[in-house]
Amino acid sequence: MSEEHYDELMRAAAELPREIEPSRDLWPGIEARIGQKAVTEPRSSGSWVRQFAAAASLVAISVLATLWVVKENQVPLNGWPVSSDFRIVHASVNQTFQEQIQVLPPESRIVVVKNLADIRASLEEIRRALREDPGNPMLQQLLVTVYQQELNYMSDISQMSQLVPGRNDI
Amino acid sequence: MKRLVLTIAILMLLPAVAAAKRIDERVPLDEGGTVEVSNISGIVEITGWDKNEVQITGELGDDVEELAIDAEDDYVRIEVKIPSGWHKHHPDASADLYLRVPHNARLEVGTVSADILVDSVHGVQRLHSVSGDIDTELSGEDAQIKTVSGDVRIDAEGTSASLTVTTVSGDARISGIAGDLMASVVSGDLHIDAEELERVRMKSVSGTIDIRTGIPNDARFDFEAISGDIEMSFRGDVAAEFDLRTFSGDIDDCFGNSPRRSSKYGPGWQSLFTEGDGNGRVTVNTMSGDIECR
Repeated sequence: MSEEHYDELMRAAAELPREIEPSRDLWPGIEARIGQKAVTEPRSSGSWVRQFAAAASLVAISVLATLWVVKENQVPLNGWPVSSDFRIVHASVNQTFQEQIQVLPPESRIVVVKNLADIRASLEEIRRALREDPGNPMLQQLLVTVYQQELNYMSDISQMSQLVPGRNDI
Repeated sequence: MKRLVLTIAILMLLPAVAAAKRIDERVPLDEGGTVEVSNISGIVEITGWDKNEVQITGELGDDVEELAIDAEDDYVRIEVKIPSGWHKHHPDASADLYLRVPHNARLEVGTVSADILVDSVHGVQRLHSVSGDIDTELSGEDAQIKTVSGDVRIDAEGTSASLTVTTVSGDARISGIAGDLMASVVSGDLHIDAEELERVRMKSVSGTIDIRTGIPNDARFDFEAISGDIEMSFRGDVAAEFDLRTFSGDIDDCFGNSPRRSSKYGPGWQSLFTEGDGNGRVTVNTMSGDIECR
């Protein structure tokens, strides 16, 4: 990144709100989803089922991680301020995702990559709108939702790719 | 606990040039036991029956390595095993599996491109496929359905259940569901036709959400979309508080209520109104998607 581009980002970041607060209390929904996960936990000992159970845990984690978007101690992620904790989780999930999609059949991989690009384009669309209307609580909530959707998406795809055999040989 | 492991070692049994292998196996399973199936391509068709056993019939492609069946009293795992690098070097690694299972069996099915069809099974269902289509009937138990590009069709026959559906680009058609519904799509479309739902939470990036349902007292419906449209139509009397907001999309005149600008100078539209006694709540947020009431 050039110094000029970096400075431009920093100037843009400085004009943004310091915090992005959800327009409502999200905890009841998180609590309900964590509880729901416990109810639907599979009993069986099969391998891919365990992996999907792990994915369910990841969903709960990602929900919590997404809340970290609203915390302080923010750093840029693709030019947008997020909490440093969130960026660490995002980087880890993204790395696993990038490794795991290599094992998918080519036609599925194309779909997966295209749709992730759509999600990220949506994030950019919301960020642009927030620059125009930074105090808009609906946009702030949609931003949190799509960040969460991106994390869930990458986690789900990583887990589903476990269904493909011969991963180490591809 | 007794344990039974059956392995049909196709490569060991067959000569180098071989025809597809037919299978016909039966293993006992307790009422309410779990049936887990893992297949790559082909089909997995599961039908409930009155017997406390699992019947597995079908055909394995030439390049299938083995069909592993691992059975306990309350658990049967069926896995189609194929050689590494299957999609490059083993074009006939598909398996068509036709299962009969106890009506109340719990299903855990995962496939890559194989379609999944379920009929007359009343236990909890977890059905996941990367690119295969999923077609199932629900009878009141919870279900979790996930695909990447496969389409989903669910008929809940009017029973109450907690249903979670996730697709990426696949379309989902859900009919007859009552109770709770959580659905998430990226570019696929969601079509819901329900008599009455109590809790609904749906998210879409660019896919359309099209829902027709009754809305009982104390119902809670939440919809969020970025560029996808939300199209709602309600059966019967409506008693709910509506909170409809969009940043750059359009909002219909819902129940005769015209939208107004969210702020005097900024962008955005909203429509906030109460219909009937307002016990329920419908919240819709979109970035650029349109909101329609029909």
